[in-house]
Amino acid sequence: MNIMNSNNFTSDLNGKTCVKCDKEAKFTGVDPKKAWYCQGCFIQMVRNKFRSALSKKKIYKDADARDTLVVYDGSPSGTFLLNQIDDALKQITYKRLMVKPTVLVLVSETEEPEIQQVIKRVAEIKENFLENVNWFIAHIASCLYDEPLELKEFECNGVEKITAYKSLLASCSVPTYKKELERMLKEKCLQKLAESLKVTKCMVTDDADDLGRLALDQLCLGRGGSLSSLVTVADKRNDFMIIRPLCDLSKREISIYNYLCKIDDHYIQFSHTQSQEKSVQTLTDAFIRTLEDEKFYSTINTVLSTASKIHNTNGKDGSRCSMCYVEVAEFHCETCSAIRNSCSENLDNIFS
Amino acid sequence: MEKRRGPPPCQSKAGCSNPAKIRKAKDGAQLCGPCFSKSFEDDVHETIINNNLFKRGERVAIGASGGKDSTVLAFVMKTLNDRHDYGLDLQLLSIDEGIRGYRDDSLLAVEKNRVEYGLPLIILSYNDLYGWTMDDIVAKIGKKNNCTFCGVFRRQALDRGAFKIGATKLVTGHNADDMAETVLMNVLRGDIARLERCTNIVTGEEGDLPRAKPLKYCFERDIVMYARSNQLEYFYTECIYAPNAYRGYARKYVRDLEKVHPRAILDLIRSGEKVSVKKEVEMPTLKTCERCGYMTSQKMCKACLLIEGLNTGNTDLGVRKSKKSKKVIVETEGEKKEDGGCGSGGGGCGCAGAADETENEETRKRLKDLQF
Repeated sequence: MNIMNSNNFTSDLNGKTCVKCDKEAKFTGVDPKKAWYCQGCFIQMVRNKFRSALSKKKIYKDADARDTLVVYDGSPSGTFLLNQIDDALKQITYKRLMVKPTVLVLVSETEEPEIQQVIKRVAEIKENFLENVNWFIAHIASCLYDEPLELKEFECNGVEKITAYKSLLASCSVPTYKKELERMLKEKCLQKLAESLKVTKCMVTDDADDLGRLALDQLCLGRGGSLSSLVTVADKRNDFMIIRPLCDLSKREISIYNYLCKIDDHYIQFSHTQSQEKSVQTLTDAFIRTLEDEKFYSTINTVLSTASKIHNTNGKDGSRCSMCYVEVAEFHCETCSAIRNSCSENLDNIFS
Repeated sequence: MEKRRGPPPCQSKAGCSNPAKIRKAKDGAQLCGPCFSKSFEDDVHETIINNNLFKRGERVAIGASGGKDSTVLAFVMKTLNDRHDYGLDLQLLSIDEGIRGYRDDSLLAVEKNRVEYGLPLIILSYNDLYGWTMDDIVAKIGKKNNCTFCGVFRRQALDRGAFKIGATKLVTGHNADDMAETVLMNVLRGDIARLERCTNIVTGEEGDLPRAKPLKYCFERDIVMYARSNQLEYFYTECIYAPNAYRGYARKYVRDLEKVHPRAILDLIRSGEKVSVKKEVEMPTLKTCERCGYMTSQKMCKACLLIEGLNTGNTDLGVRKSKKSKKVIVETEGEKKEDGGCGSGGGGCGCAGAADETENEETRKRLKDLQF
């Protein structure tokens, strides 16, 4: 029996052959009962998923709107995204992707030494990917600025708002809403920075695992009708679009790809201290992990497939919630109203 | 500073001064026993009125299993019918799945309800309807997947029973936790057709018998507290065949959600209510079963397919999508065309070509007697 150990993924190969060619198979995606690939075909399969996510929605058909903010958050998914955009621009494997990227390093760390570490590490990573494009580093707290920012290179923009940002999150008394508020502030930050750079598209690093969890979280928060907007590849919000090109790729596939392409050390190590507070998000995470441990491998895929087939009963028309931008509401949707009520600080200035 | 001693006062809007004994899970209000019961009943009444669930003079069948939900449902329906003069003719309807040591005991609890509430009771059994008890089915297929058989058979059996007593509506004791679990299960299974309709307070209106869920917004904990504070007797043993791996995980998740963030239960229901399927997605169309006339999206309804599997020994039929089961369906249909039979060597098959004519005739008659 041949055993493979790569990047902590142990797989029983058991004489399998690649589903694309006749070579010996060594790698599989999420479900080991399904397709197995040789190294070359696995890399090709992962690239195909990335490119097909972008091409099937014809996101870049408009020649005037190719400027895109590519988010890098230091995660393996972020590294993969940079690598794919880099490849796509160099026209290595496919037709050249007609995109004009600007890399945005989004920092969520709040301590000064860690922020400095990010700046140092970004300078190293920049030498490997997209060195000819503009890179900006900005803190998630940038969402608190009232006006568009004048972004500066080689420094972390928005650090002066970190205290206010921490105070805002601390004012939220419900752990579930605190985490949701953090997610919403991140989206607000991306929108604000895109606006500052006069860009209308933003590629984020959310992969299938993140989006599957998000879909269940949002279902539990009462935003079931908006799942399609929240977890599929293109999320149009007035004059801003969030693009999720990794929506068909699992963390496992991304990690194997990074390992095989030798880019797995281009990430930023954070000493995250996860909150111990129980919330809907922590329960969802535990629930998905349990199902995966029990070999229900298709859970994430099924959830995302379900989410892509449904929409809000009220349809697309009507004004959107001014906080989450996805729910149909005159002013605030029920979930956002509950989040507002759970915060002692006023959110109106941020989400106006 | 003076320390507060004892329980806090009742937070009822009526201005009650009794000490609070129960925390209502739905909204966190701390109430005394009578105020809790009144608040619970008012919630159910509000649900009934706001959703226009019943018409005056209707005969309503109450699906009664003897468990907490159906016992509370029967009691609340009787109480509200008397208090608010709905003018409903309420009748209890029970299904005997044939699980020795479980259902026979729970039916005793239903029997007590019949006597206490003065409501007529009708009991239908799987054995009478399908020629199989759950004990027989488990003996044949083992403990895996038996909930699929039981769930499909019970749903149809309740409809048939309600028709038998001439009811125009069937009410079931599905509570908020059940609804939240159903929304979640339909998302996890990718069943978009069911996801779209599962949170409707009245379902089956397109068929002949609408089903209503008056306890849709009542939390399971509140139902237990209501039963206790009104000293209702109910059967609380879990079904001996209940452990169902996948649903079990979803159930635990919902229970954990209720503990950590109770609002998530109602939010899950709200999510389900907001969902509709995109126009471009293909949906199944409703037809009638070729064999028994029950509604289905396939040629045969799920119950007939499962019986077919039991009678022919192909117990995967209707349970999982395997090539083997598909092959059997194709072969079965092929043989049916040739000799009008379903391939069963008897065993209660109701089709024209079954080997044992007597048994065949009996099953067909059983199903036809209860046809819509």
